[in-house]
Amino acid sequence: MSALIKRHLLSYIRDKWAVFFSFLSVFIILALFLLFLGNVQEASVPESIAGTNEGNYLIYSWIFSGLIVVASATVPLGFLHVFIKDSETHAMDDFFVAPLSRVYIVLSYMLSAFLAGVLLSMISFIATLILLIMLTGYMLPLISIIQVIGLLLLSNLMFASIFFFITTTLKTSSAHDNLSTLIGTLIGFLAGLYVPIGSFSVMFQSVLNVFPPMQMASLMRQAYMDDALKMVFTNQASVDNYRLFFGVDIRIDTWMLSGVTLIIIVALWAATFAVLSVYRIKRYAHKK
Amino acid sequence: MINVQHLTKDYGEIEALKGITFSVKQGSFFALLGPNGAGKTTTVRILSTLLSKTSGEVHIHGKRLTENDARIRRMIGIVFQQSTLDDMLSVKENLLLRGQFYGLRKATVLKRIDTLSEWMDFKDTLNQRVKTLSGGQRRKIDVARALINEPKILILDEPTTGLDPLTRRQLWTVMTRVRKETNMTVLLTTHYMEEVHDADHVVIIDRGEIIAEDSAHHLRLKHAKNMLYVTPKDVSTIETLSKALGGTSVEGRIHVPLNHPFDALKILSENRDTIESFEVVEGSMDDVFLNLTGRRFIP
Repeated sequence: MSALIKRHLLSYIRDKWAVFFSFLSVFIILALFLLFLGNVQEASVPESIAGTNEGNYLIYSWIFSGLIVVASATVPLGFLHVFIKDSETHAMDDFFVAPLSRVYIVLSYMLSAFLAGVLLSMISFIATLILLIMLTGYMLPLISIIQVIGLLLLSNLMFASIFFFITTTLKTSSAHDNLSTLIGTLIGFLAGLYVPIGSFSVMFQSVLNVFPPMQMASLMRQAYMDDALKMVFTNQASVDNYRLFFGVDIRIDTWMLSGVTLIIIVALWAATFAVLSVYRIKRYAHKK
Repeated sequence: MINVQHLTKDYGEIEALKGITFSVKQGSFFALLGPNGAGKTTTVRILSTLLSKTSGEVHIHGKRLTENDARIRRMIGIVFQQSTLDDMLSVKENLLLRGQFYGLRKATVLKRIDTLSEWMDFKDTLNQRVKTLSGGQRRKIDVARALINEPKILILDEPTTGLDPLTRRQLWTVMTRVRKETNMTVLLTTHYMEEVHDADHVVIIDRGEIIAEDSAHHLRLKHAKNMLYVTPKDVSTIETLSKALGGTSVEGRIHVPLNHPFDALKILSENRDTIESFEVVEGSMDDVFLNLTGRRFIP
């Protein structure tokens, strides 16, 4: 299995354009933020610290925590192009005629999607830490770093199993390209990055918060922004307002989703789609 | 040794294979010839454990298909119609990966790559990425990849489709060398008649049924006549001459069927004075197909 995983990862990572397109949403969000979304942010920090390193620490923590969640979704999805292409071009048949378990062969793609996501979103995380120090002089405390790493693993696991399941229902790589474009366009919105979630009505917020991207983004913000939030806000009421408006805390109607609840929900997403994927794997692996 | 008995495959209502029976001798060059949709690829996919059969029995080196698929996979190497190499990996990486699938040690695989690259003349491309190779080079590596595990049987499923004539010939030169060096069984499916000329045994398959089988040589002898084409000196005598030779006149030439190419010598020497020019053409596999099915062979 490790030989197969190595092969899948190499054929993805060496395809520079595939990797670039997996990060396209990240780049677009970053560009939008630099051009105008940043202004929304600046208006929201207390006037006393606007323009200071502390203020920027908060702003950048918000955008970076969202970006690494986006990367952990779009990289596994982008990687799965390898899977659909192999199935389409019969490269997978070539694996099937070798004395390898068919279930392992199909499973190797799912694991590779997860590993590709972990690898590249960890690199993205390190990049955000470096940028954070350069731009604000602040570094995340160790506890946040550990939490973020744990959440990235969970996030990649969830998105890899969701997208693997969806990809196994597709027949052609062009269908997969369309899916990638669709997700890439929507993800910034679904994770509450283009528009802070507090801008919407409570009803619409509740709908968005049912979906995994917002739940994962909320968890990530809680870990990534913890230090900055404590530093910037002294008034309990204003920090609560900020957290709700920027999707650090999310709610479905009047139900506030706590961190623990969110971890359970996200783990359930991952487990559900992993089980569904196993069914798809069995179908794939069965002779026709 | 491959033994196929009454093999059928249905796709719903469609019978892709209607109970075919054949056997392939160890070390022989066996060809499955037929137009597209005849059932060649279906047969190959069943033999290589990719597709399940509807009914019938298949034994490969005594191992029963569906019961011993894992053992059978170790005995075969297959080259598919489409290349299955990884564009992003180098030739060497592709071959090493294939070796790992069979649990071979790296040193063993490297030695094997050395031998194969020598036989098939691709040493200079070993470190190139596959996407930079030409169609012909790529096909060679596809064959090498199938040979990594030293299979007893090499299956080639229309390996030359889409290649230009020169590249096709080069590939066959390489294949002849490989067969000579390894003495392995080669099972070829093709719709190119000229590719089966050297085959020890040819099975012609059409619409899921075997319509003839024998050596290529015997099939031609049995089902395709050699032809003598004669152009008379004086065109006005064409009809009388045609009758005398036992042929038919077609567009200023006389077509005379021959039982043996040497029969032409007698006819030509007897009519030397009236003949302007002549041509002797050996019966082709196209004629075999035409005679057997009443249809022209359209791939």
